[in-house]
Amino acid sequence: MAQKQQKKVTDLPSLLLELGKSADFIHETMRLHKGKIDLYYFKTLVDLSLMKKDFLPNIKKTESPSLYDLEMTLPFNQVEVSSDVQLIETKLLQGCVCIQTHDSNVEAIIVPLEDDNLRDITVPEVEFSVIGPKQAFIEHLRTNIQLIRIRLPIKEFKVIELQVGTLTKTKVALLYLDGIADMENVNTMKQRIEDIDFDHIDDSSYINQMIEDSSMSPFPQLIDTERPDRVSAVLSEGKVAVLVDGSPTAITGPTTFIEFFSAFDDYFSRWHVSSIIRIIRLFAVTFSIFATAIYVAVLTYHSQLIPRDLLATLIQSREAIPFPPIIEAVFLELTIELLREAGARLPTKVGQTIGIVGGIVIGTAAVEAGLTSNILLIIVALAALASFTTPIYRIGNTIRLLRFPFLFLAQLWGLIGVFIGFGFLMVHLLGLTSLGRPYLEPIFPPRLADFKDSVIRLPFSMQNKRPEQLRTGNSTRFNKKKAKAHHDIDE
Amino acid sequence: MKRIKVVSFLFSMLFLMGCVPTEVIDELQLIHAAGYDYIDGEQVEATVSVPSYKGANQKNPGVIESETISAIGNTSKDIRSQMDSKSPKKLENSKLASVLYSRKLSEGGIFELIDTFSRDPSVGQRMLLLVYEGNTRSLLESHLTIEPEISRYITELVEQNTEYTDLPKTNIHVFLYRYHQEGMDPFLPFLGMSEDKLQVKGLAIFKGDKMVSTISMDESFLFKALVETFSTGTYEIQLDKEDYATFMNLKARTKYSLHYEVGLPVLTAKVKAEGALSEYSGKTLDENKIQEFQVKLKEELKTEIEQLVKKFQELDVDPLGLGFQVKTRTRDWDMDRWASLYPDLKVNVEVETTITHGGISE
Repeated sequence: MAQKQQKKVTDLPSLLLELGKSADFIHETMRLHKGKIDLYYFKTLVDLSLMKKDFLPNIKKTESPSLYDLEMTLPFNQVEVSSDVQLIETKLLQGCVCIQTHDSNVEAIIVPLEDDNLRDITVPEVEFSVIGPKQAFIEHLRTNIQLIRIRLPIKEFKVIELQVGTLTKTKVALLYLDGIADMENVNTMKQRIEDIDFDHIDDSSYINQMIEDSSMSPFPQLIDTERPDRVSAVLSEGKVAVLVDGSPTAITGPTTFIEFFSAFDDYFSRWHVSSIIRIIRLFAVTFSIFATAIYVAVLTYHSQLIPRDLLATLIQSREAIPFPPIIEAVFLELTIELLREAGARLPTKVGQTIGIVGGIVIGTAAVEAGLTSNILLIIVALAALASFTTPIYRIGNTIRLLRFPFLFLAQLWGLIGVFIGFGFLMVHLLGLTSLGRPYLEPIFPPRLADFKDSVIRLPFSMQNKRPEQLRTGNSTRFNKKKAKAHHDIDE
Repeated sequence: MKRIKVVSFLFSMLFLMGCVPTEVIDELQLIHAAGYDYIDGEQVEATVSVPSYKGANQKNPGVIESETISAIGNTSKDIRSQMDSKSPKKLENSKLASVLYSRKLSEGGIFELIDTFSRDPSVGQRMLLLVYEGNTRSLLESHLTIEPEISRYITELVEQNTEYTDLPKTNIHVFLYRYHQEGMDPFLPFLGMSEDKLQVKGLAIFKGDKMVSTISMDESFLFKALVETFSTGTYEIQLDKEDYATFMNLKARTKYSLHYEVGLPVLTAKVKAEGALSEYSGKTLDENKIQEFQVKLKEELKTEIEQLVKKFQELDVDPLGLGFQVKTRTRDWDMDRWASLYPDLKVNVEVETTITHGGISE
């Protein structure tokens, strides 16, 4: 199919004829004082009001309908005369107007009149923060790059533009800071994007999945964010970012596992607070993965592990339940997943109602009917809640998915099974890379210096070096010694 | 090839699921306490106490009471199969917290009965072994008002006394260690009834696995000071009829040292006691009075410890582990030679006391 569609049209008249088969392609012949000109454009792509206001009046004023006169008189930038059929085709499909005079059959003027049709820049919804900038990316590449360039008004900020998708011809921009980012990362990212062979690219998440180091892993290996401030911050750390036209999320990398648990908020709060919150998040994730599995393992195999005081409570809560703990746990986990999925599919307001009413009603009813024990209900609900503390949405889904294998391993071999699963998980994480950099850094390989902004976030005065992980061209962010000296105002 | 291996591994995992016996907690009859009684030279009666959650549900925990199952037999295996035949759910040792042996049974030797527990991986090493002066079955069957679940009562009673009062630390691990170690004899807490309450009456002293004597709770303080370091002792001394004082939170520790006199080992036990006076019957408590108490405390502790050591030497038991203290300081230590030396071993007791303050009142 693709081959047939890309059949080369070599001359201008047959190109225009081919395009003319589409109903929204307009061919207009205009009479001027001397002679006639032909206009070709897609009425669905060009900005019609701009055309009426600026384009047509100027055309009509023109004295002689020669191509070079027109190029001089038209008050638009990037007006060009070309005989390249390929270029004309591309430009027409991007929303340019093509003008042909009767002197030449091969040359035409291309006037960019595309309709941008922008939506407003809004508040970030997925990565909302109370403090800090309230801008999120939109679906327009140029605006998105602009949002970052405003934050980094330096000549080192470089953009490489690429195109992917045989059908969508999606524009992709690769952003980095020259002299800071490791060119190896830039080149890896660039090459991987260029190597993409796919017809339809809708969103950055397509590209994200196609350029990841391991697509078999459940763990995302590149961070996607909708915050321009986050992108500019990671660029100045020495990372590389990718923006995709038509997608309101940027991809940044290389990244580490720990970075998925750092919200951009953490840099806006005091470092003590954000350090503790990060530790809480990591604890919450561990709890979320292991809590139900350990409950099932202990209740099914290891009665000796239950403290004496808890024993009565646990036995009483299980007394009336006809199922073994695993059925009970899987039933509740699936209920929670159903509620979450239903909430995500429904419109916001209905979704909230489903969440609250469904959760409370089904939970209480299940306990009263004797289908589940209330202790497990608490554990499962807490585990679900804990999985929502992840600041990057994508990793939260991974965490929820990981619970199930652990649950089955707990039923198979008890706590030994849970630890076997943990072993496999660790081996998998140790083997993962992000753009070729170790995923579990700074835990392994242990790099003490990179702990300053991982599990904890130390104050900015101690963040004087860029992460070792990134092998930056210039590892110093500021001179610590100079920065330390406080100056009085009268000095 | 690799794929076949992985798939066959996963399949075997799936089918081997059934090979692991599950022990779901509510399908078990968890034994919380057990008791052994003497029937005759060969047979023993065992009683287990299991909790019953009658009338309790998720909303109303209710009162947990205990039920008992008893069986008579020669070996613990035999007893166990008889018990299983009387129980609706599978009996499980994993939460066994305390095991009682009647005094009469203990005097005949209890090692075989303890050995079965030490070989059971589901039994914790912190399980309590206890000697009860009467019939353990009637104790486990009784419903004492202070705590209806008898096993919990027994366990918490002993734990509380170990942690906060003068009972030295005991459990199955300590017992077996002292039993197997040369130059040491085991001891266990000794319980009895006092009206309608269960009471720790002191320690049962063993020679090997046979109980030979008991010591009282007062002596237990001295005993604890000689075998472990602790800081929660209570001791009372009397100056004259109306003039007595109590020491609470008495810290005590003992250091042993060894030297030889005429070729015979002489052991010196240096006891350090430090504490505050918490109760005084007299009117004024001044510096002189405190000094007086300090001297008195020192003398009294010295004589009583000497008496206690003497008592053990006369019984030819060594629960204090004096033999072990000598053993660790002697090359080529010989158990048989030590056994002949022990009854006449010279033990010097040195006591050092400090009274830190006389309480907060003026």
